[in-house]
Amino acid sequence: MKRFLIKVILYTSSMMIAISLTLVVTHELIPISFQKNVKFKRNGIGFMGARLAELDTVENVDILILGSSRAYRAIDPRNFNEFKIFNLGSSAQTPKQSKFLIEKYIDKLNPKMILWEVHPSLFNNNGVESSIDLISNEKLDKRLIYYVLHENKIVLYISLLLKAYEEMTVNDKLAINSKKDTYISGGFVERVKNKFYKGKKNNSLRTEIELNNEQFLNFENGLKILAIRDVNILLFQAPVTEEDKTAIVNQDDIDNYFSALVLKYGLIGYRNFNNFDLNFIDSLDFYDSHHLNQNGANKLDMQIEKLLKNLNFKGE
Amino acid sequence: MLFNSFEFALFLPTTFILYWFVFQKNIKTQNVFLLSISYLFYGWWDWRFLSLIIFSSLVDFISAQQIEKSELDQRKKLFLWISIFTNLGFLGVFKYFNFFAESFASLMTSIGLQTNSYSLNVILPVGISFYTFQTMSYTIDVYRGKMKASNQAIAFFAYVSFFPQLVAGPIERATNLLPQFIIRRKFAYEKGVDGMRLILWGLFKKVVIADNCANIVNQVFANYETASGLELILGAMFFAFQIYGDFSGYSDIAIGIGKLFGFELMTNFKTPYFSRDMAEFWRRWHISLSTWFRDYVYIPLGGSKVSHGRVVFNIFVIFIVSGFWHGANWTYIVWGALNAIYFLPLLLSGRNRKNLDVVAKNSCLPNLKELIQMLFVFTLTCFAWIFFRSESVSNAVRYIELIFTNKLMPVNYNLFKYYLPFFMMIFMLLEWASRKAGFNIWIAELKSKSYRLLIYFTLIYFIIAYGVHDEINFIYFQF
Repeated sequence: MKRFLIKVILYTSSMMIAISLTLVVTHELIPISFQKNVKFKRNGIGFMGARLAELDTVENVDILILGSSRAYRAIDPRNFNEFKIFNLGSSAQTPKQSKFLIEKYIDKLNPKMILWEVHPSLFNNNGVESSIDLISNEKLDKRLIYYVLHENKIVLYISLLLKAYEEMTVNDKLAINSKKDTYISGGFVERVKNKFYKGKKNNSLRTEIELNNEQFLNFENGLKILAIRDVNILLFQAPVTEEDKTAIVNQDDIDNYFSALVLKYGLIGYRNFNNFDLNFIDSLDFYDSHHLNQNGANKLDMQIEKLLKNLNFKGE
Repeated sequence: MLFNSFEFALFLPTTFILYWFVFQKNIKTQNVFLLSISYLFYGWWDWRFLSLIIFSSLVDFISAQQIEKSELDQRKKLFLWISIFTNLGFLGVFKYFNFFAESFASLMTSIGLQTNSYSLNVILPVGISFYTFQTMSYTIDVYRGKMKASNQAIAFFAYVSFFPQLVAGPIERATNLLPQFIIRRKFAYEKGVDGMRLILWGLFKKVVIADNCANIVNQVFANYETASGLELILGAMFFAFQIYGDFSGYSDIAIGIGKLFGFELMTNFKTPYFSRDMAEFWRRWHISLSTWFRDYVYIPLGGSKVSHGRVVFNIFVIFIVSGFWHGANWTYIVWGALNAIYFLPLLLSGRNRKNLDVVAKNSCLPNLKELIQMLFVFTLTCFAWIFFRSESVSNAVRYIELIFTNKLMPVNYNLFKYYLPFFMMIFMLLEWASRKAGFNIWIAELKSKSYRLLIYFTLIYFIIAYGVHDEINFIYFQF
């Protein structure tokens, strides 16, 4: 028995070392389309690396934005001259990652208001893609390691391993080669000009979105942290195209849920911009079915500015 | 608790160490420990259904003792039927009631009579078809005088609920497994290593082969109306790999865990896709179930030693019942009937025992004839799997129709990942190499230790880097 246990321990530990090395080598050598669980997105498609690098130099903002690409491609700090805004949205950011970012940066950013983008699909998501984005771009510290241990997913352990490797070896962590997008100071990502939505090849399927309990829990825990600090919170859903608007069967129930949270946590409001006639035109204001282009972002930002004025919100 | 879950990765080493280091001295305490961890393993899913296993075990334990004690045949029969009714009763209520109620209602509607269909809102207890069959075989064997009734309640209860094979088999016979609970078990190094090899191989089959195929299969079967002909063909083929990887993977892990705890469970699969005819396929696929039906249904019906007409009847009975065992849906019945149709010509022409040996026994590769035969059998099984996987018989028929009427191309390459064919190839190569004795024995017989290490390393690497780690249920849990 002892021989067996010693062998199992020896085999397991040597295999773990050999496999860790192989994962690093394959990450370097094998094209991404042939990879499955070996995922590492330095800077990612949403410029998270650039955003976090800029964040090092930012303190005390008026408005902090949280949410997915629908947030960091919609709220452009250049459109808000009266306020100091930082957009901390990231690709497919679910409440899990939002909570992580709140806990880490809330003291430093000390926002007066948070605009939190809450598309239902983010609550119907295990958050793995966004976690990979976070691990790839955040600093490797205890908080990040604790986050990965808490998530306890093999794919995230692999990303953490690659993160450790990159910390040791790569100098230019912000290198990105995107011809489609530009990072704008303040966390916004601008799609190249004159990119317009041409419609989908297939119609969107109408689906009922089941909201994930774990994401709910993280969302409400995030709200609780903010409630203690007396931050004004506005939940919102960014505009999407007509076909995506009607794709979620239970949108009314979801709206009711968020409206109920406004009362429960004393938030300043919930606004689903799709429920108002704001004159967004699919072929002019979007570059795909659920992302605004620059025209659309400018239009939305005007609406948000109006809303902030109505709320009598003032910056520094 | 799933074999491919984080909880189980903690559960297995903990129970293994306690089993051999703390409870080793006394067989009774070891059995009490096994029973406790088996109930914990099952209760992790839903503790309420433990009562079914306990009740079923209790009824069969008492029935078998009464059968043995009784001198009157009628009394023996009475207790045999109590056992059979209890077990089939559980199956009837939890698995088949709604099917019969709904089928009856639609039959009435089709002849113009209106009925109110009544259905039960019950959850199907996981593994019910497996443990009821296992425990039923015990009372039948005691009735037939093939074995003595057990007077050790804990050993018997532990046999019924033995956690590695409780929820998806292999369906063990009491004659094989029960005695192993009574004799003192000693840890054997070679057996332990053998067990680890099987666990590794089973995990690879489950998380790399089956679960990756599942992504494709689910998409194709959910959107078959818009899929191309080639996608539909690939969907059926990938399902063949999915179900084999999933189920044989589970069996390998179960057998491997059994070995770690000092037990020998029966082989459930012997490289079935390398069969040269359907009779050979059925000697190699889900062996514990097919031999169960052979021994407890087919032979009592007269087997093949009756008239031709009766043989045809018997074959249809066991294949249809076997299909129905999988689930309360007409798709399984059609799947069973199709297999009966495949099998019958071989039996009636006396060619059903032609291929008893493994293919290409004395050579590295099959000859052309064997290759064609294997491809033919694989095609037939894939065709039958379409019924098995579809939601309804009409969906399956439509799926088959669309294979021929939809455009052959294109194939959605986002769905069919580039790396999958590579894994299939490695999987089939290892399957082929180990076809004579099974993966664990083949690898143990490899002369070079470096080859062995390389294979272990490759499998572990693929499990980590390409496995699906979403803790997807095993397909056979639903049965």
